[in-house]
Amino acid sequence: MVKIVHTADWQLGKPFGGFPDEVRAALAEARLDMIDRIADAAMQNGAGHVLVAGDVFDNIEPGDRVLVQALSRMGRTALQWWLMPGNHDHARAGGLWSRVRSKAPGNIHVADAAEAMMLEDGAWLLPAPLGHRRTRDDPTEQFDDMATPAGAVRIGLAHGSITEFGGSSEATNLIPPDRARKSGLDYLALGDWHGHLLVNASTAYSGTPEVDRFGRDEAGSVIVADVLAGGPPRLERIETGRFRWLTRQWELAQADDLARELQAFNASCSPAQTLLDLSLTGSLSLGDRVSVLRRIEDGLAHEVRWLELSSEGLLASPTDDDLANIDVQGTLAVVAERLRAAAAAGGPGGLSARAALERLYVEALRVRDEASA
Amino acid sequence: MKLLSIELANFRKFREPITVTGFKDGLNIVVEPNETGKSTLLEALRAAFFIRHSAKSELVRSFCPFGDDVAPKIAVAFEIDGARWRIEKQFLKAPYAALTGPDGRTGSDAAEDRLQTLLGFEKNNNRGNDPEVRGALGLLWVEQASALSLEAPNRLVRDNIRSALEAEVGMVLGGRRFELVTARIEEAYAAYRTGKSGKATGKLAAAEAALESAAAQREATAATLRAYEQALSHLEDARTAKRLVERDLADPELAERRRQLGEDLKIAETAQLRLSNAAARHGETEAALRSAEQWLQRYDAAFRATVRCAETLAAADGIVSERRAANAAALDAVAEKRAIVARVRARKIEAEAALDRARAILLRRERSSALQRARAQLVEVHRIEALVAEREEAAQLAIGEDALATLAMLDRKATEARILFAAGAVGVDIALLGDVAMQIDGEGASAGRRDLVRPTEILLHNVARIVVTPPSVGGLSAEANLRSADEALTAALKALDVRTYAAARSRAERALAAAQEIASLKRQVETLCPGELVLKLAPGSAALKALLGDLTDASDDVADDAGIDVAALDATLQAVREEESVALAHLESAQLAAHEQEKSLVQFQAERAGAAREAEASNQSLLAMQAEADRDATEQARKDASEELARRAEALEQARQATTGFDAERIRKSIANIDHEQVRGREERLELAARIASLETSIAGDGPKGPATMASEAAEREQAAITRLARLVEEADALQLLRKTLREVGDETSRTFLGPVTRRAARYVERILPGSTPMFNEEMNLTRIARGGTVEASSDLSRGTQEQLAVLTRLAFADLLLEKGVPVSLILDDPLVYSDDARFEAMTDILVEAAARMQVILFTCRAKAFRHVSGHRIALGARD
Repeated sequence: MVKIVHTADWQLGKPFGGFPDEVRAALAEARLDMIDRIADAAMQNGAGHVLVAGDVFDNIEPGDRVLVQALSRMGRTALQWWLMPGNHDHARAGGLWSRVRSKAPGNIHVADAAEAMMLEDGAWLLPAPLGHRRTRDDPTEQFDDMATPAGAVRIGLAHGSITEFGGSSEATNLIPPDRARKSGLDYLALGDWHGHLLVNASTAYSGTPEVDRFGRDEAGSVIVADVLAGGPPRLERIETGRFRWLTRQWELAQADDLARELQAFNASCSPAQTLLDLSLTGSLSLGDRVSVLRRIEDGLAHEVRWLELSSEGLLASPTDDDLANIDVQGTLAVVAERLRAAAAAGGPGGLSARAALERLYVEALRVRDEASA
Repeated sequence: MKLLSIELANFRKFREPITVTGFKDGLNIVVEPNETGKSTLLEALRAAFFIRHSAKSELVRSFCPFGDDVAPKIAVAFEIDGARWRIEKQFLKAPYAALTGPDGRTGSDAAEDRLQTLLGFEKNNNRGNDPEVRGALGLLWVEQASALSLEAPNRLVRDNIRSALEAEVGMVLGGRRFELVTARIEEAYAAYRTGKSGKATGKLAAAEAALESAAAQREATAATLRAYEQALSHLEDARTAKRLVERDLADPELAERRRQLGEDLKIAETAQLRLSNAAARHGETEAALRSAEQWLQRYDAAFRATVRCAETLAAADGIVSERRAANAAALDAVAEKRAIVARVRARKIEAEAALDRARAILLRRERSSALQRARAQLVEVHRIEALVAEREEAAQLAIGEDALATLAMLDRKATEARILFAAGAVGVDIALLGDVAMQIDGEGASAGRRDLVRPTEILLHNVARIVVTPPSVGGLSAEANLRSADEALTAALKALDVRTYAAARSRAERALAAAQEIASLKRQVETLCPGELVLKLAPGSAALKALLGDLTDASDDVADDAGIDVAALDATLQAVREEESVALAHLESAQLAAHEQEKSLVQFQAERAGAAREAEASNQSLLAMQAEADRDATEQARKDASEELARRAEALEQARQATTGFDAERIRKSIANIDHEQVRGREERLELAARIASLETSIAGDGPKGPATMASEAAEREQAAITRLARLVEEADALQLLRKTLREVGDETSRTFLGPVTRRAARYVERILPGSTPMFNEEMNLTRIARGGTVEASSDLSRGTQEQLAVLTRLAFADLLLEKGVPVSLILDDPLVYSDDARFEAMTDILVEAAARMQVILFTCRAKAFRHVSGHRIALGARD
């Protein structure tokens, strides 16, 4: 029996170029920190090996800063790290993996050749590294040819989609779901799918240990596996993620709905470690919409690590009060009425008219407030 | 509002304090000449109200009298709605403001603020030159310069007018908020786009620039990544190539082949060496054999030559002795023939002498007979010559042909004259029958015939006298003719010594015959003298005569030697001559033969000498060869060499056979090829190693920078920039729409208020431009005038009209402001300068009317022009 940590899709060096600098720095740091957390998880669970099933790096040529940080963090542990190239960091002569090799301390093994590697006595690793970003071939086909001593534990390590959920025939790096059985594997540790997924009793995706994009609400995790020769492995999911990438859609029928949603949201997570992709829908009065947005922008946006707000879905239906707030009569009232009509007419100009009306509302209130002040 | 007094000190030209007082309700006219400070007064009024006391602008500094460093000071007393106020300001040095009113005195900024509220204007900018915030007084206190132009009332005035009209047009403006919102929107929009051209500026421009730079960055990093990846793929290619080269270099098959070739080369070289040795030895023997054979050939040839030379010499000796004998015989034959010739010659001389003697005799005989013939000939010649002499006489009487012809002609003429005479004459034949003397015409006459042509008396003495008279008259001329003809004939005949023509003729004929005869005789003489060869006598009688004249006649001693036979003698001589020529011919041929013999002998003797030399030489040569070697020994050596050669040829053939399996040259070439290949391979390996090292260095340098991360980061940043720009554009578009809508609605509203404004202005305009309507734009600026169906721009009107309209629109606005309860005061600085008299009057009437509603102050230098205007007159001279 051998106890391992199965992980994948570290995507180290992911640039997060669309984020402000402070968010980028935090996200990048979290990706490196996860190595320490994985090491902790391994130590705590008594696993001596960490198997990374591809996409250790986000791209084929990350900078030395990231590379050295990662290697030195791994090097400081008493664990054996087995790194395999995936599609993002596929192996090629003279590239990234040569650098890794040249800088890696002794406890880091690069599994960039389709050759069985001995993890320890009686336990063998069968890697299926990718030499290209995409290949139509099944990268695990070579497992059949990898002989291991009789009775030894055989652990396959591969990166790609399982044919079943890859869907279309256009998918690449396709792996058959029964590969473990076919190639006499005791466990097939997969990477590429960023979520935790058990394919069958002896095949699983560990998911990424630190989520790197929206669309996956659960925290990043690894699998701690006890692998036995001939028997199904015992798998345990251990959360390692720091940041949660949450996607929310709030339907607001009145201004008060926001408070309820905020309360629920705050209770569900730790906002400081949350990136939120928030879509607002519903229909509010102009005043309510403005106050909702203001509250989100002035409050929630600062509470969470990052807020990606989409408020186009939150329609403003200017009420008489709204219009009266702009001006009951006079020129401004005429302007407001004209913009309201244009917004109601819709079309490409409608969106601008909506925004213009909102802006008019805001400015009119501000002028009024200043006058009364 | 009513101005009461103005006090100035240290203000522009008013260095000394001055107070102008006495302003009252209604029309006030300040009449002063130019340059007395009317405009300065107006400037001071503006400063007192609109310029903050703390201001230090250029304008404020200009208040100070030129060259002085003092504090300009102004104090204005005025009244609003019956309450009296006094504003007092000092500028630049210890500046202050003080406003004293019914509710006490305020100072500094509070005074300024109070003043603003009181008079309805706003705080000006630092330079104090923004007309928009000056309110009603800004519009109504008209400086000289701006009075000329039709300008829009400022914003505060517009707002006031509009609010004054709100009830009238049934519309609430909310004007202030509208202005504020508009201003804010303009301000916000200005952060995105420029107001005029809509060009991106501020954050929109920054976002555009950011996007551009992000795109450039993305392209640059992508290029770097591409270059890096290319380097990687080149590296892989180079490594593959190097592996291949190394595999080729380390190829064991090639090494084995190289070794085998080396061994083959050794074998080939040994065989080659053997072959060349065998060839050398074969050549050596072959040369020895050839040398022996050649010596033998030469020896035999020399031997044969010696024998042949000896034979030739012997033969030559034989021939020479033979020839010598023959030569002697030939000489003998010549001597013999010569003797014969001598004998025949002696006989020939003898025969010739006999013949000569005989011939001499015969010649003498011939001469003698020839002389005889010559003598005979001479006799005959003499005879003929005698005959010739005879004929000579007759021949000398020859008459020439011409003379004879002349004579014939004369004779014919005489005959013809006679015939003519006869026809006229009387022929009288007188025959005297006895001896009777007869006279004719007194002259003795003889008988005979007479032809008488004139009466002629024939007197026969004592016998008869006979007169004969010819019948015709012509007889006389005929007779004359006849006489002259006869005389001519006679003369001719006489010259020829003949009597008649006939006689002449006959004599001529005879002479001719004689001449012919003489010629014939002479020819005969020549024929008689043919000449004689023997006598050396030439033909002709002269030679004959000469010869015979010399010779003595009797010397003919001709002997009788009848027995002489010349022919026999000649025949003998001929025979001897023939004999001689035969003998000579024999001698000649004998001599020729002897000569030939001699020549032949000489030739054979020479030949013999040559043969002797040759024999000597060949003997010498043979002797030399014999001294060189022994022929038999040499012959033996040749035989030995021949046998040795056969053996060596066999050895050579064997050696040659041994080399055929291994072509050293080909083997060397193969080795060289392999070696060259190896060298090339090693060079290539070095080149590749260098290339790999260089690529590795470049990769090692670039890889750690993370080109792929940089590229994807740049791409993400570009995407973010695009998103941000799109959001800003949306915001800008919303603002633009809002701005546009605000402006549209604002303009529409303005137009709503224009009707009442126009109506009020029209009342005044009608007074100076009857039938015309003023037209205002949204800013309440009088821009056009409609007159008689046409519209013209106000800027096209005359200056005077423009000025009048400017004053009138101000009056209209002032009326509106009055309605609103705004403090109003109209001050005009030197107005209506360009007005004609009618207009001037109309304008002053209007001003006087207006003065009933508000205080009007006119500054003018034209005392006379305004003399007719009733109003309160004020002089600047009223100083303290």
